Amino acid sequence: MHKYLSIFGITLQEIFTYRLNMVMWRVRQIFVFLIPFFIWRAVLGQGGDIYGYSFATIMTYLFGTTVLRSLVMGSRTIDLGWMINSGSLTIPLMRPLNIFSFFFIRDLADKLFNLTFMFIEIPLILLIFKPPVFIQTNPLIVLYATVSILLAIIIYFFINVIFGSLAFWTRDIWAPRFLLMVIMEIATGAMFPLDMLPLFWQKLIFATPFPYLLFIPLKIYLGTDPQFLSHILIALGWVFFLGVITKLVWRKGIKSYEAEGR
Amino acid sequence: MKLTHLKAYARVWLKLTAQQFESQVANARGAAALFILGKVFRLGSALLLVYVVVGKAKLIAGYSLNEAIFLLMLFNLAQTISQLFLRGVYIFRQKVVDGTFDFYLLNPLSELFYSLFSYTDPLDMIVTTPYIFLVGWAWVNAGYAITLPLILLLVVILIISTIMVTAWHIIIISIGIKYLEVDNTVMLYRDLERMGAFPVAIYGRAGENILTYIFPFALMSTIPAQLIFGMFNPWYLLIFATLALVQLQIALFIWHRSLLSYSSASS
Repeated sequence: MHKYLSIFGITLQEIFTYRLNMVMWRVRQIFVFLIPFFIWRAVLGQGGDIYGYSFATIMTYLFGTTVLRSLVMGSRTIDLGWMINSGSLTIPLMRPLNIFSFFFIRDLADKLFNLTFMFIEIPLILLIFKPPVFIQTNPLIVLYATVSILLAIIIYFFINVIFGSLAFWTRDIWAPRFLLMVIMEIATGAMFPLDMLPLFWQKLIFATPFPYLLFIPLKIYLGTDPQFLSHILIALGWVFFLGVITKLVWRKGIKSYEAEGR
Repeated sequence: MKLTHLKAYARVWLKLTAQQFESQVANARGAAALFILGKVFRLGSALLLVYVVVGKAKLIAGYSLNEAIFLLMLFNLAQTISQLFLRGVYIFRQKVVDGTFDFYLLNPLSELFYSLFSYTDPLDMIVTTPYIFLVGWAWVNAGYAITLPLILLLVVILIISTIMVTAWHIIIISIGIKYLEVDNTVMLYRDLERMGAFPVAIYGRAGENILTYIFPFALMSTIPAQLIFGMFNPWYLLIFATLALVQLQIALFIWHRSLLSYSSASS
């Protein structure tokens, strides 16, 4: 346990090494909220509603995705592809560590960093833009939402390991990651609530694990997901499925690892 | 700069771009297809956002759905062209950290040229042609006539905005020299740039002014669209041209200042 605590601490130190880098990253997280805020203000700021969302409800949703995004999608595992290509994966492989635990602990450190800074950023956003904030008071719903967020964190971790592992077979991992990023931007519900989409697109997106990263946890928290139990079960199914795929991909990939550059 | 120098730069750029293309073909043929697919998907999702928001609301800042789509297509083209030559910024930090930047300084050609233009992505060139056709389609769809003077004015705007974009990229890599940070700064710039995909009026008076006079993002979509819709006097472009040249001079000054603090730490 002590060694994992050390990895946790070292990862935090790494983040703080390049301080401007860190500050810019956090500023970006605020900008993620700004663009949709202005778009929706232009459309709904004078009143009325679209797809059943008023300006207040859409702001609550966007504010929620901004917070959740930092927590769920803050990750250090995105470095995996680079580590494979540069050969620096060799170092953690040679240590007496479970490699998945190593990456997951690094992810947790990143999330703690994000969470800490959110306590500064959230009051700032609230002060400047005054988005309506909904505090869930039903402890059972809070519990379900917490479970859903934890599942989302694990799903995102597995997705990152699978995509990072592509570097075992190809030098260019930027293209698949770019495609993944673009797909996730819309399919997680980060851009707008997925229930604004036509039914066909909703069905298509719900056949992927992406809505379970942001959209579902947020809907559960807001208490607006009548099928929350089945959604939690589906998310659990994705965790198992992606977990198996991750192990298979890793086992196959590690055999072709050549530790280039080391 | 003498003409012979310009020829040398053009020759080196062509060579570097050809090498980049060969490297892509040799290392990642499938990745190229995925990259193009990603670009198409990104444009598709931006289009979807416009459709979902403006399609239902009917108007955004006084623009109809078809006009908003035209703005998006203009932005997409301007963004692709301005980025086409400036890919070097994405790997610049690594060059400074691992000491490769020393070799840029030792080269007879400008270190700035290598830092900015040495990684032109040929895939960007491939997607530019369909993007031009998409602008043409959206233009007609918005109900405005395509005329030669308007096309020429669009090219002028594109050149002015590219100068401003280049100035900002020079500032970003100058920060990279001084603070060893480029990646999140350039991504922050990209996040800001995305604001240009919508009419800048939606960002309020202060936001509109910042995106118009400090950053080139209004020049990438709102201003050319207004020009075509007959809402913008083309003579104002002289002000923007002056502004672009001033920004470039300031950026070059910052670049030269930042070079003084380069310590070649890793080599």
